Amino acid sequence: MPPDERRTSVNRRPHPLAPARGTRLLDTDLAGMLGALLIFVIGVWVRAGGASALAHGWTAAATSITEVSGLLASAAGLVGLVLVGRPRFVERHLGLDRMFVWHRILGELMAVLVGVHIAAALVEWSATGGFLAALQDLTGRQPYMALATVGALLIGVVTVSSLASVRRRMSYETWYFVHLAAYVGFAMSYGHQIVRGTLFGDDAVGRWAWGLLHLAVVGVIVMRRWGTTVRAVLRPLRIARIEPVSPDTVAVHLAGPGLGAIKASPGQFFFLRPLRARWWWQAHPFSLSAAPSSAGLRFSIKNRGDASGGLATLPLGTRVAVEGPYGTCTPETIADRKALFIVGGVGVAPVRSLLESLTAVNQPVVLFRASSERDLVHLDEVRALVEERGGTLHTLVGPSATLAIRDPFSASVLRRAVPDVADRIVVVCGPDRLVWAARNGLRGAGVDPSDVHYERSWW
Amino acid sequence: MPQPSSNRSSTAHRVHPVMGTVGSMHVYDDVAAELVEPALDEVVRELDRLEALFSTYRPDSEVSRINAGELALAAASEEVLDVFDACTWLEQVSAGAFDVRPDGPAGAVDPAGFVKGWATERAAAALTRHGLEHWYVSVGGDIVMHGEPAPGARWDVGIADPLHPGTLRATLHVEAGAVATSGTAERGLHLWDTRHGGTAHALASVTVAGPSLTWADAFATTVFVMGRSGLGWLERFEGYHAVAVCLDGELVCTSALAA
Amino acid sequence: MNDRKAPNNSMPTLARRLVPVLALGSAAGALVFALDRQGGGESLTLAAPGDTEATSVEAVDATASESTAANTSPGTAASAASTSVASTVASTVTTTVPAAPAQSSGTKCQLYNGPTEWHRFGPVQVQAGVTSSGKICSVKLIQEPGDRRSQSINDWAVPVLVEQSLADQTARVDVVSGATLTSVAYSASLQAIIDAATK
Repeated sequence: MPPDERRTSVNRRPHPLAPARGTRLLDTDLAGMLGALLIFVIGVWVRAGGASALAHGWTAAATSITEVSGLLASAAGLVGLVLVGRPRFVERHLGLDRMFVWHRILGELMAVLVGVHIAAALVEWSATGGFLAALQDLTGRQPYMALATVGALLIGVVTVSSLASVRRRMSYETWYFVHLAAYVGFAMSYGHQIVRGTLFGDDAVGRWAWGLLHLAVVGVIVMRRWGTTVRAVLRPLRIARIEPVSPDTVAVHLAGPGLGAIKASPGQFFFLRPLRARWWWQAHPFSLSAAPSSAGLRFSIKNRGDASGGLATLPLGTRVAVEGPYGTCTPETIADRKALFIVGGVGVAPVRSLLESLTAVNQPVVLFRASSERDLVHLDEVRALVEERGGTLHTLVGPSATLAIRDPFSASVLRRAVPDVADRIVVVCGPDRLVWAARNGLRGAGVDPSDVHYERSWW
Repeated sequence: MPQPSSNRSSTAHRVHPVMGTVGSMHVYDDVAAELVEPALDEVVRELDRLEALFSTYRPDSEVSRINAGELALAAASEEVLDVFDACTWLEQVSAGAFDVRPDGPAGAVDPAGFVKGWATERAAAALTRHGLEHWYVSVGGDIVMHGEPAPGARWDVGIADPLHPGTLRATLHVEAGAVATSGTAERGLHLWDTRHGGTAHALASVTVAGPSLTWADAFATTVFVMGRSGLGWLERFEGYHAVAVCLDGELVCTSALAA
Repeated sequence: MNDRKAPNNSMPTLARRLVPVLALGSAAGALVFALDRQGGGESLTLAAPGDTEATSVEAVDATASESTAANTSPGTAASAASTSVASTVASTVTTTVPAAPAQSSGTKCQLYNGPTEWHRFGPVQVQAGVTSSGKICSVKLIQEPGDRRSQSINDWAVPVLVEQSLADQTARVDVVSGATLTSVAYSASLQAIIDAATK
């Protein structure tokens, strides 16, 4: 063979990318860190007499409640911030979807605790000067309190704007920028904690510990969350190909020299950030719909009317920053177990990529639900992959209202369709209602909940 | 003259609830218990007797009966008359800040702000009559001290922080004499004095030190009602010094409370 | 949770699980104990003028003994120009109430701001009031960093006011003066101080 042909033929064969780096930390290590934070926070409060002060009358109790609610609010906020810092060692255990859900829970908890903190502080300060004087002191007369008040207001605004009912009414753009104010709010309250906080005010050890803790969290956010974005922007991939898969779904292929630095496993997802005028400031998550290889990353994107639809209209060659990978559902999760995949519509994408790594040992069964034929995306690919591995593909098409059976995911139906369902490891991917119904049915069919993997919706 | 014990701890003490609070007596003389107990007994008896005379919580006390109209003031016992006289004088000299009729000119007389210190001082005198030289008697935070807690030492009197129960705000080193504190707890939750109509000048507590507990207590109550300007008012009295905790935690004192 | 993600794919041992948790918990606990405790308060010395000091003892004695004098109101007894309480008592007073102290003329309290001093918790500035005779009539800390319960601020401020240092800030006192509750239930915290202080 002539030399250049040989080189080209070797180079043309794509090889799979190396899997995402794992972490050696265990979930118990994470629990230990969380426990240590709680021990420190509660310990500081108890050490200063906070617990016994609760029994010493209203003013002392109010002081004590102010202290403990402030400490716990900060702790909740810090953990919440770490979660959205997306540290790798946490993400590999929990999965980004769960981290975002917990971020929201902790954010709401923090807002409630800040409310308790403010109320208790007003009670405490009112006792020695009246309500109006207390209000004046706490909103600005005392040093650092003006900042703290503004910070609390910002946190309040961010929390309210993130409630589902409020968020629905605003554009993603508005919501996103309002949410960034949380950083500012948090930073503004730091001063009053260190200087006015009765527990850190005089205590060098305490102040250092608190400061270092905050610095560590800032470090995680800067290095991981924003560092990842910066790195992704500096080494973007380009849109190599866009293929229509169905009338409203396209497969976008991203490739480029930046691929060499990316490690990913089938089943994971990335945040895509097209580097174009209107697009650069938002990143949206999409799952790989094929195993990542040196040929590129493939994402199957359905037009839902928001940014997802616009991606299909981007010109070829557009630079796209890819941040990730995220997601804990990878071939390692399935290992050698028999596998069942329950997917709905474009939710088949991560399963389609996972299937490539499976073998006959896994005897994969795929239950593919779609409300119409055209939503059975990548049907041929999935069928081919499943048959290669000696598995079965079932489809169920049609709007839910027209089905002969009320619940296609009920335990009895599942057992009939997949007799050995209880032995299988299950991956569920699709709209929320489908995931919920499937989980219920699986539980009823005797599947161990820890064997059911699904993505929690965090939006 | 008997010496106090050298390790700065009392050799005998007694605790006795009286006047709605707690009286505690500590004797530091290095003497036998047989000498101390009778003296403490007498102090307790005297406190009880004076409480029975003045307490507005007991319907059979002379003050209650005077208030109820059952007993004419002229027919009251000498001690009651003396106390009423002293209160009247204090009311004049404080321009009404010390108010012996807090419910108005036709209302009941309540000499409580004067009686606690006065009664304690009178009862504590029993200890010197029994020959004891180094002691203190504290009734509800009003303290009269005599002698030394240890040879060559001064009394360390802690001032409770009115804003943070259970902690101390300052310490007074006193040679002997009296220390009395008046504050919001005594006057209940009424932090505002109607005369000033606001909290701008209000205090959280006032501690007065001076030769006589009777006047230290009376002045503490008066200065507390007056607010910050009371410290200036107190300057006119020789030998009496005050330190006050303001509502914002600041500490202010009269002159002479210095290095 | 996916512990099967461990690179070598082996299940972690019990020791591997327990040791970090215990270590982290102990470290947090140790840090809590390393924090400073809250202590007692500022110390002021009653710098009583010489003869008043000496007479305070006598005054108590004199009150105790039955004096025989005309039953005058305390005001008139106080009008005697003498500055020592003992001599006031020595003049005829029959009342059981000790003679009220003599009144001196009022003094004006002129305020001055001291220089801003830095100590480890931030800037502190003292505003002192001084009478025409040079006595300090009021002291106030302005620019006070930290909470009003901050003991170390008082620690630092004291040397400006008081000669003696506060080496033992835990304020072991002989007795405590405070405005107690006059209801039957007295302040338990205050009693605790009393008990602790008088051991």
